[in-house]
Amino acid sequence: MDRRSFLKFAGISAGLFIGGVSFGKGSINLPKPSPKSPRVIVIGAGWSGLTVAKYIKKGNPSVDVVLIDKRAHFFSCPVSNLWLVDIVPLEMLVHSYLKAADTYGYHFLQATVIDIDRNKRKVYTDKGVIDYDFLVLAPGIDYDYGRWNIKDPKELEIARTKYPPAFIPGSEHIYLKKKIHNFEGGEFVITVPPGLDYRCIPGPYERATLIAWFFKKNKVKGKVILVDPHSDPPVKAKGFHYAWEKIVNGYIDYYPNADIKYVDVINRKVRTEAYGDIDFTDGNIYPPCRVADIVYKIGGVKKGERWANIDPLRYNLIGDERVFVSGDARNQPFSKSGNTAATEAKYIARRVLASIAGRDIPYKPPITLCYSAVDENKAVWVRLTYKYEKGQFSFARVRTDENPSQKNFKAYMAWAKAYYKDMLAAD
Amino acid sequence: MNRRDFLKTCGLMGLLIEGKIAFSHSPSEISFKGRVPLKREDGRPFNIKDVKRYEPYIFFYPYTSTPCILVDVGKKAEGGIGKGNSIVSFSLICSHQWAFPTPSETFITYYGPDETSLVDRGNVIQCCVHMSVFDPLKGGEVIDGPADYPLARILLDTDREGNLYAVGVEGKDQFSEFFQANRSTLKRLYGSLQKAKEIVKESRVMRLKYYTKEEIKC
Ligand SMILES: Cc1cc2nc3c(=O)[nH]c(=O)nc-3n(C[C@H](O)[C@H](O)[C@H](O)COP(=O)(O)OP(=O)(O)OC[C@H]3O[C@@H](n4cnc5c(N)ncnc54)[C@H](O)[C@@H]3O)c2cc1C
Ligand code: FES
Repeated sequence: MDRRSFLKFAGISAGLFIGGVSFGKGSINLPKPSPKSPRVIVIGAGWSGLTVAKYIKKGNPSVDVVLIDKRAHFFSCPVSNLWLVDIVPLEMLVHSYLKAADTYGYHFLQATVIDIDRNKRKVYTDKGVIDYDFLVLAPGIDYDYGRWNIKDPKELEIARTKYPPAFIPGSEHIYLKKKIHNFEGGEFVITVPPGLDYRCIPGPYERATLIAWFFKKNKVKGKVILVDPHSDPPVKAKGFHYAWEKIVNGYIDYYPNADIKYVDVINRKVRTEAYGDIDFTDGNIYPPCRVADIVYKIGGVKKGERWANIDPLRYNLIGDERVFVSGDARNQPFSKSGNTAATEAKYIARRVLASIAGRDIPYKPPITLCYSAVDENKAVWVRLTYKYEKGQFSFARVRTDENPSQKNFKAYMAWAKAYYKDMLAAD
Repeated sequence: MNRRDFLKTCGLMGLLIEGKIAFSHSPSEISFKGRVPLKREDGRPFNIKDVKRYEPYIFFYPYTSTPCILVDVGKKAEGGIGKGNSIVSFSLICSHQWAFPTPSETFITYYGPDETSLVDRGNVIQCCVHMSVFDPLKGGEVIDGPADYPLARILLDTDREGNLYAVGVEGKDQFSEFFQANRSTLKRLYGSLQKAKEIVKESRVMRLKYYTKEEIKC
């Protein structure tokens, strides 16, 4: 490769500066299986995007699949609560995108998607521009601090930096872990977002329980303050209450029905309707969620809404048959979980392949299966299946095991490892 | 046809003459052919009379490391052999993400008729890793859960004395995915992937509960 084509490939020829954002202006040339191969670009190499990319390629190797993520490596949110308190090692969570791409035969491009021209079917990234025939947006979530009146840029920065939510993987988790381990006493606050459309419904409860377990184990003179707008954990409530009473008693205070109005990150207070101001020493402020920025940017969210405006069964953006949205970014009322995202992604892969072939396929709803650990070797789970009738989704079946047990914990670990193998060829 | 394929075909034809083959009613692809005698732990032939009703057995076929389940489900089952056509066998590699029994534990196992499962009935094979449920009465088809494919069926045959043989694999097997996904575990269990991929010449049958320390049920 000569220097010019290298620069073209890497897309790092002189960047174009538009509206304060720097685009790589060169086009990104990636070899296709054949010149006629349709190209599918998948944006976001999380639980959804990785599965979509793998199963499109597996379903039809002649399709050119490009998986784009701004991250250099995969960091799992599921099981990360256990890593925060040293129950599992980091190697369990972190995996190489390259091994997945090499094993499954798609391209992995480490780049940040900055814009998309849906008329010209071009994706603009910081590394350059790339054309698509079909596009799958799987960029996950972002935080919506405004709903808790954290709007001032200084407060926003403190909230993001000093009290990271750690529901988007990477630096946030690493800093949160340091905070937990360095905590010497006082109130460690954890907030739960309202509603059911935040990432990982049981996530904050699992985290609160495990941090309390960690404080108890290490005889920290502090406790977890769990501030929750719900009247009870929406899932696995019995299991969590059991843990709070029997396993971490004295190390957790639960504040249900706390209508959170504002979090004063400067003076460290959570302002609630029910309890007034709740003071904290340190903490983990998890605010409401919304779809990741890129979906807003391309006009994929209806005014006043927070999730992608897509066909509920076909997953394409309304009015655009070539752009699909999957994973936590979706607007269907499924629990925002990795299991939901990955089971749904197989259906979306088939749907994209069907679109390429000009066919249709029957709808198949996803499945939610979510484990939560309550100490170093016990867990509970909930399993939800869905159905779509008369224009509405509802549960087809709800199953749960709320008795914390070792067998559930083993199944939890097996659940995650099997997903890492499937998504990332991690073994 | 090369020599190996030729011998394999001859082997299968031999069987057709010698005894019955547990073919399913819905014709589907045979992904592996090869006649292997099943043996008891003491080395004697494993006979159809050795099969206890509702008791899951494990043996390895066609590769040293690929487990199969053999069970008498107590009533006529698709592709079943034996007096009541109730003895069936499946590859015990979950078709979802390739969970399989190891000596320390298994998440995939058979649930007897009186046991409860995620589909509110017994007589199923269930995998608790992501909760896929398979029907051993209907050729291993998926009843519930994320698996896209039925369990691959192991074709069984008996000789005149009633001794059992595994003779082929029918349906979509998961062997290549299984080897890819479980590389390090197989290396640990068998010393190398190459050893894990050796084709068996005979296979010992044992009760699943004796092979694995813990059957994890959900
Ligand atoms: C602490 C925690 C515990 C959890 N526990 C569980 C659990 O036990 N079980 C379970 O099923 N689920 C669990 N979840 C939920 C699960 O992690 C999410 O539901 C899942 O990650 C959603 O997948 P996704 O692909 O939609 O999003 P993500 O996995 O977040 O992937 C989105 C990807 O898009 C990339 N991206 C975004 N924008 C751009 C852009 N502009 N350019 C390039 N790349 C971009 C991001 O870098 C990211 O890698 C948990 C989550 C957390 C945080
Ligand atoms: S591996 Fe068996 S259900 Fe997933």
